[in-house]
Amino acid sequence: MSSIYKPTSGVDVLRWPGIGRFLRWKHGRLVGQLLLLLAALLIIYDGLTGPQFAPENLATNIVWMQYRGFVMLALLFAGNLFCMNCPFTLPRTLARRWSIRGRRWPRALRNKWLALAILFIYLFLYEWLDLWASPWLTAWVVFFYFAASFTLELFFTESPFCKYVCPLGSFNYIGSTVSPLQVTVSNQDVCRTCVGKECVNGSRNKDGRWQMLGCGTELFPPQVQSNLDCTLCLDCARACPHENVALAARPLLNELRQPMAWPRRWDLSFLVWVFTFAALSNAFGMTPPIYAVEAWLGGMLRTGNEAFALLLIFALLNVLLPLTLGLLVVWLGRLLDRSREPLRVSFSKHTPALVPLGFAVWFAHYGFHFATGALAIIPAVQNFLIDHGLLLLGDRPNWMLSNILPFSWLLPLQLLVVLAGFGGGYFVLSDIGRHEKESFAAQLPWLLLLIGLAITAIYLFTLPMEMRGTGLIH
Amino acid sequence: MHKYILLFSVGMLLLVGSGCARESQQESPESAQINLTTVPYPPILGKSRLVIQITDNEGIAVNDAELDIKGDMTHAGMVPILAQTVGGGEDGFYNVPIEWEMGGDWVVSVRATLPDGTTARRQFELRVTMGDDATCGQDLGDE
Repeated sequence: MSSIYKPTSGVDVLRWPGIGRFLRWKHGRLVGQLLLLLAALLIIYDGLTGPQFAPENLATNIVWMQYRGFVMLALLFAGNLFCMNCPFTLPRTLARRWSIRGRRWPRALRNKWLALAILFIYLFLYEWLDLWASPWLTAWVVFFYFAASFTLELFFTESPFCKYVCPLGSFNYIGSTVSPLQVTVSNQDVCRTCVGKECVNGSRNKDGRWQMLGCGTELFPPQVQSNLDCTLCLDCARACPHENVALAARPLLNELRQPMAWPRRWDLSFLVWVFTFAALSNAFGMTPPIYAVEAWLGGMLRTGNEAFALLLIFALLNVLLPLTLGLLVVWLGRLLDRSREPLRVSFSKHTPALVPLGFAVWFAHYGFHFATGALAIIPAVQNFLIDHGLLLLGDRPNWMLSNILPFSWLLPLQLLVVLAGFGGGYFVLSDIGRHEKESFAAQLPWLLLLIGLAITAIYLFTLPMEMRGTGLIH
Repeated sequence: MHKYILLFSVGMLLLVGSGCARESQQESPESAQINLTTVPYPPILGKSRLVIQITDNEGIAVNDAELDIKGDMTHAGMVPILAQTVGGGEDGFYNVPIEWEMGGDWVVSVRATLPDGTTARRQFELRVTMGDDATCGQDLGDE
């Protein structure tokens, strides 16, 4: 066990005064979850009953503006804080009580293929139904999250919703691989001699009743090498009788640069590729050429069905293109390196290099919305209160409250973020090459891929943006 | 278990039912008709002009109305366009200069306060383009 990768840097957030104690507190997670549950109930309520106009509704403001902005910031500066405070897992406690579980998640589904398919469907529905523009649909999305989490917990023993189903979780897992914090242990020897392994198995009191649950996604902290599948719930830290679990800071992009930190699996690698390409296609969906492509495709296929045309575009950009390019790049790399290692190994060991750039493109996109509209939640709240006859925050919403950064800063910042993402990807790629003793030729196709993706992202961000969503003219 | 289902059902009923008490759900009869077009039409990115026509329910032009105009993009968090006119109007037509700062789908809300103090409101959906297909046609937009 001593050879296991361990990212401790001396900084352990769980040992910090105040916040560390709060995070280790038995109900520490519950506080955050209840706050987000309140937000979720507000989303459902205002989404179903409030003004059906995105800028004036709390549902669309919270979900498509505040949530996405804060998630990206949290992933970059801390970790997977949304999953940590996820309200969708709260009804699971109830589900556990009624549970007819006992069954484990089917073996055939214990991978990321289902999560990948659901992420694809989710992104397609977002674009097709203009989810960002519909408070009513946004409320139902949140409701379905609760229902899905509850139902799966009712039937299965582990937390399959988090690990194998949730599209937000999948997104956050990949995003959190760039995060500076990771769950680990302070002393490997303590784990070596630990009998109960409460961090995974949970702990019971003297009466045999559950005191603390163990890791829902069945990760064993001393062996954790990656933030993948970690919801940062910190149940492991609360369950550990030795107080040996740490939430440690780690060097920049450390996990992505460790050759063995990720399992070498097709499903996980493709999830990363889809994550990266979806960042571009999602940004592309907000630019004028999407109309031209849709119209061209509709004319070619002689169909006026927008959903069909959009599905084809999405399948092409998010599945076919990454699949083809991925296989081409890995084949070229092997050819140039005269390598005989299996395609899967070569593919998956280089894939982490895409994460910084993919994350950067998502960050630049969501960051744009957050920077232009973070304060818009204030007039939306004012409007909500006024609508209920409460004039606590005035009798007229101040609709001009919106941006937190000057507009002239946004494009340069977006370009800077993309370049930083490219730099991060190159940094990871070089380190992988050094670890694996690869020639420059072997890395060249991957480098060209990164350059191509970065140029595409820069091109997309320099295009004039068009916001669709009335469902009027498609 | 039945207790929880009952609790959940009551909660949902309260949730949806409470929406009916909201001011935005209280509909009042409109005291005037509002129509809108843009110059140029369809609207293009940049400086433009809204032409708003106010008539009473018998179709007679109304001048000297106070107009509150708010143009929003369909995504939450985008800065709206706000404009206001006090008085004026010629044969019921009001010209309001505005600037479209982004292409895409816009929702323009017009709230008119008539000289007699009654109000009317209406929303219009417009697509602002990059400018290839714009004309100067006067086509009063529909919801």
